[in-house]
Amino acid sequence: MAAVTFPAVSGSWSKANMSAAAWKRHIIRQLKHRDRTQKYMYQDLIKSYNKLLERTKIFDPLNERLQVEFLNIFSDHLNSRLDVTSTVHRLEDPETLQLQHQKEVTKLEKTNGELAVQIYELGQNLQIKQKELEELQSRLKGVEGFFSGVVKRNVELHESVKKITCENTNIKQRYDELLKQHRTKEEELQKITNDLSEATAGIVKLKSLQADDMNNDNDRECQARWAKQLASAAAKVIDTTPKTVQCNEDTANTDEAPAVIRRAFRSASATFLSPIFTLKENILYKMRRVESLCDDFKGPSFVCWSSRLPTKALEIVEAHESDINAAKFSSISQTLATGGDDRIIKLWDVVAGRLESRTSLQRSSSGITSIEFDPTGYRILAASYEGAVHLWEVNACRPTYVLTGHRHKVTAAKFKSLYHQAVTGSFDRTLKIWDLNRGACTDTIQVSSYCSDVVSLEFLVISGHHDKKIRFWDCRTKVCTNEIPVEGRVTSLNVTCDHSQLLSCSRDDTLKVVDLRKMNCCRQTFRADGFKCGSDITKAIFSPDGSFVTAGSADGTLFVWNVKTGKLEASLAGQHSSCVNAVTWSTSGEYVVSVDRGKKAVLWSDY
Amino acid sequence: MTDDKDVLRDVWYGRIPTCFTLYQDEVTEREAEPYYLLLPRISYLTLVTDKVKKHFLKVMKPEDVGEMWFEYEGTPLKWHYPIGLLFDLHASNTALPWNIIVHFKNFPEAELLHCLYKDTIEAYFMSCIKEADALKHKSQVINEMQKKDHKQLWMGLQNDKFDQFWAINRKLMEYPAEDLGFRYIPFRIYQVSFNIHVPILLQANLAGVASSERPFIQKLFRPVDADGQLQSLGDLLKDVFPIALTPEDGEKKFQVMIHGIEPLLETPMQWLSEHLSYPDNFLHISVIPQPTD
Repeated sequence: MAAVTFPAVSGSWSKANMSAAAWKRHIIRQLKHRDRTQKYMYQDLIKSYNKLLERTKIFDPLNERLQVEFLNIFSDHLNSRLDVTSTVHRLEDPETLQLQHQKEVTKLEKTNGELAVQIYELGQNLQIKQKELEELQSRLKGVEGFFSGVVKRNVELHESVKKITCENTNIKQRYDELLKQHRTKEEELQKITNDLSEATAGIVKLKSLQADDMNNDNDRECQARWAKQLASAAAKVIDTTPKTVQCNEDTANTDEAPAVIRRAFRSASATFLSPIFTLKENILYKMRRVESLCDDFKGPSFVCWSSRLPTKALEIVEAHESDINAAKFSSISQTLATGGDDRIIKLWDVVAGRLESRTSLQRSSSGITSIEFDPTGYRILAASYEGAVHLWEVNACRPTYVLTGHRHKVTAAKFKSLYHQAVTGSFDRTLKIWDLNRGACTDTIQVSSYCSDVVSLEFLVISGHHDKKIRFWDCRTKVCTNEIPVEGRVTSLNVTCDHSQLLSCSRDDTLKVVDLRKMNCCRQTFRADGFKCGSDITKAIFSPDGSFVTAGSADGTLFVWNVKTGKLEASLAGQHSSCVNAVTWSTSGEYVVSVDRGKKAVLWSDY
Repeated sequence: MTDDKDVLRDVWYGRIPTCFTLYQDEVTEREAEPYYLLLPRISYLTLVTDKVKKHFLKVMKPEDVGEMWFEYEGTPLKWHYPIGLLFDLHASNTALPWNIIVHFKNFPEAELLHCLYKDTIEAYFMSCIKEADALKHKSQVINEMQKKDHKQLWMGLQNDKFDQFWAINRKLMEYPAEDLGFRYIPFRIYQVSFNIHVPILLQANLAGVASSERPFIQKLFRPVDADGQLQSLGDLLKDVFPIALTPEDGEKKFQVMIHGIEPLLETPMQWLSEHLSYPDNFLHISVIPQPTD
C-alpha cells in the first residue's frame, strides 16, 4: 500500500499552533475515551460469544441425532418391556414356556456365534495390520541405513571437493609461476631480438663498408686504366715526335696497341710492368724479357738450397670466414695466397715472422679450390667450384680473364710451362688446356673419372683421379701414355722443383713418391700412425729442396717425413683444431703454412 | 503531524458494539439467539451485516425471508447513513451495546431505500465523494483521478483497509498552496426530533432545520473568511444553525457530536474537514439533546 502523506500545514497554522493544540488535544482525548468505552470493553466479549455460538452450532445436529437415538432406544426398551408383560400372563403353560426359553436360547447362541465370527475376523485383521507394521518398520530401517550411507557419501564428496579445490589452488599457483617465467622469457626474447636487430644493423653497416671498398677498388681500377691510357697516350706523344715517319709506317702495319706497346716496352725495358701480351710478339718478347730479367721460364725461378724443418708455430691467424681450401707461396717472394669457401683470395706477406695481410681479390663467384702462382710471381690462377677459373694479376682489382667451360667444380688449375697456357682438371671428367692470351679453351681431354689434381711439366700433363689412378698425358697428342694405380682415391699431386719426382696423396692415408725418370715406378710410400687423409682435397707437398714431404692430417696434425730415410721426422700438433686442407712451403725454405677447415692459417718455422 | 495521523486512524477504526435481535414476530423454526457484532462507525449497515443475515437465516424457512432491514426503538435505520452517524443520532447516550432489531418482512417502502446489491452502496458512496469534491475543488481533483483510483477508494472502504483508502483520499484532502483551505467545506448537520417516532417536520420556530424534503442542513461555507482568518466550528453553527449554540446566559441544551465526540467550538473547520470527515468526505454532524443526567 502506498505510504500516506498528509496535507501540508500552511503558514497560518504555525501562528495558531499554541492555541491549536488545545482543541486538538481535546479531540484526541475524546476519541480515546470513546474507544475505551465503546470498543475495547466489548471486543473480547463479543469475540468469545461468537466462538461459543459457532461451537454450539456444531453440536446442535449431534445433539439432535443423539436425542433421536435415545428416543429410539427408549421406545425399543419400552416395547421389550411390553413383550415381557404379555408373556407373564401365560406362565401357567409350562410347555409353551419351555418352547419360549428354547427359542431364546437358540437366539442367544446364534448371536454368540456371530460374535465369535466377528472376534475371529477382527483377530485376523489385527494380525494383518501387525504384519504391515513390521514391514513398514523394516523399510524404515532400510531407508535409515540408506540415508546414513548417503550422508557418508556426502561427507566423502565434501572432502574430495576440498582436495580438488586445494589442488586447484596449487595448479593455479604453478600456473602463475609459469606465467611469470613466460613473461621473463618473453622479455629476454625481446632483448635478443633487439640485439639481433642491432647486429643486423652492424652487418648492414659492414656490408656497406665493403661495398664502399669495392666501389673504391672500382674507382682505383678505373683510375689505373685512365692512368694507363694517359701514360700510353703520353708515351705515344714522346715517340711520335722524333720518328714521325716510322711511327706512321708501323701504325699502317699493325694498328694501335701492339706496336705501341712494343715501342713502349723497348724504351722502358727496365720497367716490365705492362702485362698485356700479344700473339705476334710472344716468343721474341719473352726471350728478350727473360734475358733482361734473368728469369728461367723453363725451370724453377728459384733454386732452394735447403729447406728447414719446421718445429714450431710462429703465428696462427683466422684468415678467412669459412673453410680454407688452398694455400700457396709465391715462386719469387714471401707472398702467400690463401683461398677458400668464402670466395676471397687473400694475399699475405711474411714479415719478421708474422703474417701481414696485403690485399684481397674478391671477384670470384664461388668458393676457391686451388691457387697457383706463375713463375714470375705476378699472376695467380684460381680455380673455383662453379666451373670458372680466374686469372688475376696480383695487384689488380678484377681478374684478367675468367675461363669458363667446365661444367662442374674445377679442382686444379696450373700454368703450363709456356706462360700463355694453363691446364685445368675438373669433376666433369675433362682436362682442358687454355690459351691465356685470348682466355679461351684450346683443347679438351676426356678422362674417365673425376680429376682431383693436375700437374704440368714441359710436354707432359699428369692427373690424379678418383678411380685410384694417376694418368700421364702427352699434351701434343692428347693421348694417355701411362697409368699408375694407387691404393686409394688420389687427392693431390706435387712434383719436385727439378721435375724428377712426383708425390701423390691418396685416401688410403698414404703418400707415394714416383720417380719420373725411372719409368714411373713407385719408389717410396710414406705412412704414419695418426695420419689420416681428411678429405678429397688434402694436399701433400715436397719441400723446395726435395728432402722433405709434408701433409696435414684430419685431426689437425702436420706430418713431415724425410724422403731420403723414409722416416717420420716431425708431427706438429696442437695448432689446428680441424682437418688440415693444404700445406705450402715457401721457396726460401724457411716457412711452412698450413690451412684448415676451421678458418685458420698457421705459420710454422724452426726458430 | 503524528497526532493528525493518530486522529485519522482513530476515526477509521472506531467501532460500536451492537446486538442484533430477531424481531419476535418473525417466523422461526427454533429460537434465534441474538448476534453480537462490533460495527465500524465509518461503514454502512448493508455492507457489514452479511454475517447477521447468515446467522438468522439458519433458523428461518427460506420462503419467509424478504429483504433484511433494521430498526432501533421503532425507527427504521437508513442504510445510506454511516453507522456512526446513526448511532450518534439515535443511541449515543443510551446503554451499550446498541440493540438493533432485525426484520425480514414488511419492508417500509416509504422510509427506506432498497439495497439488494453491493453496487447500490458503491454508487451512492461514489456520488457522495463527487459531491464533496465539487464543493472542495470544483470537482477538479476527482475528475483527474482514474477509474482505478475510484475503485480503490471503494475497495478500501469495503475491505476496511486504511492505507489503501487514504492513499487516494489524501489527494482529495489537498488544497492549492495559495489558498488556505478548500473552496467550501462539505458538511451535513442532522438533528433528531423531540418526537420520537417522527424524525421529520419540526416546529416552525426552528427555522432552517431539517424537514422531510431536507433531512439535513447543507450550505455553502468557506473555511477562510474575507480577512483570511480560519473559520471554526462555532462560526459554522452561528452561521447555519445558531440554535445549537449555547446562549450566553442559558444552559447547554444541545450536544454537537461528530464521530461520538464533542469537539471544542474553536476547532477550525478546515482541520475538521480534513481529519474528521467520513470516508465519503462529508462531515456528518449530529445535534442531539443534552442528556439530563
